[in-house]
Amino acid sequence: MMDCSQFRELLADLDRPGVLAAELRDQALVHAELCGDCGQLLTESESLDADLRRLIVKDGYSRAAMRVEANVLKAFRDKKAAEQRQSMGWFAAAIGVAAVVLLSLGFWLYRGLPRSRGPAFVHVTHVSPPSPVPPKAAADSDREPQVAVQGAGSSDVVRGESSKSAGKLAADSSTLVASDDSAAFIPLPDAGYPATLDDGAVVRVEMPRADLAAFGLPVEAMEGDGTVRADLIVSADGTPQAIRLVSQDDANATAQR
Amino acid sequence: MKRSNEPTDERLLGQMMAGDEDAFLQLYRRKHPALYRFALHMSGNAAMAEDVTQEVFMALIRDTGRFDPARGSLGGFLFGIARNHLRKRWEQEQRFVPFTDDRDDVRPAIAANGNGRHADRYDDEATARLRRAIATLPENYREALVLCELEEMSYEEAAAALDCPVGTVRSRLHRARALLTEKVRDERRVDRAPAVGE
Repeated sequence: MMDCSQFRELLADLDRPGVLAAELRDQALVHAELCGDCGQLLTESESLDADLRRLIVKDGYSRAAMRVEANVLKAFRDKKAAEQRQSMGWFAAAIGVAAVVLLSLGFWLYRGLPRSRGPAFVHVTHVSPPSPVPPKAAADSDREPQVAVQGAGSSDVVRGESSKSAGKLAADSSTLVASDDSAAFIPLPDAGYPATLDDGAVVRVEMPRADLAAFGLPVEAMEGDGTVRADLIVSADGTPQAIRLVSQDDANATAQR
Repeated sequence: MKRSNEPTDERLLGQMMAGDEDAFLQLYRRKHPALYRFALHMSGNAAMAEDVTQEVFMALIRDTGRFDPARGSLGGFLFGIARNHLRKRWEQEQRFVPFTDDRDDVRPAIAANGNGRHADRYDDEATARLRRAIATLPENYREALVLCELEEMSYEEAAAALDCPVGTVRSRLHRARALLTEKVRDERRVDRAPAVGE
């Protein structure tokens, strides 16, 4: 049998679906019929429920003004636009970084590949600009695209391009040969020689004997231990173009100068 | 009543996060009436209720990722935001001293005066009496009553919105109903009593 305190505990849930078990609800209703005070409470509670339902119906169509919808929609669009701008910014930044990386890689490959095939060890001892081209050599170059370059102990021929400039540059190198030393420059395999010699320089280096032998230079006859002095013609972009051996005496004299 | 083929709140929220404007509008139109009514019942002021409703959706737009489905429904989350904004507004209003001599309680006074559309001139007497009685309930009880009775939330949903245990919601609702019954009874008694001098 339910008492009044138990009834008051359950009163608010009597009309709430799914909260009270049917049996408990029936007990509460039986108690309300038997107890005058609890019956009065039940009547007031039902009246309150009816008033609340009326209020729900009355306020059921309450809505915020349309300007609220317009404001929040504008805020949504603004945020969306800002996010799109931000993502575009990130995309542009990513493209920029990728471009920089690719350019750097290309530059590194351009500069790095010829060197990687060059001598493993080079010690630069002296740098001099290429000798000016004598008028006679220049004049000669106009009429002969193929220039003979004297080899060190052997006769070697540089096959220049058929153009005039090629002949001129080939003549420049032959001038260098004639003015500096009796040995001839031997073009390096990957060199752009003679087209890139205009702004180049003659660099005196010490190179491993084995590397020089790989170029076909007769290093066996040279004095010295592991390294041998040689002259390199280096073009303006730093690429070695041609090489020749230098005698020890001549090298010492140049170093003293 | 939600139709079975309508997308869930969570789905609409996901689409909204992906930038779908239609999904956002659908979510707004589905959710804002209850939020507006809650703010209206709590403040008794239509302008404040609109401001709070707007703030709730602004907060949702700004920080959509804050909603965690594991912690409760989207409705509960939005009611929680509305509740926080209402409290902020009340705190702001309490910084100002009213010109009138009646300084008992600002909040119920605002709610009871209903200087917006809430004090509907077309309310019948019983409804107007009920509105006044609800407006004078303590805030905690009023929240529970508005959510559980007027918005017909379950105890669990109300507990998620109010960020408190289910038992607390239940006891607050019981107390609110008891207070409301007393207030309505008292008002009826006053209305029925003959005026002095009659």
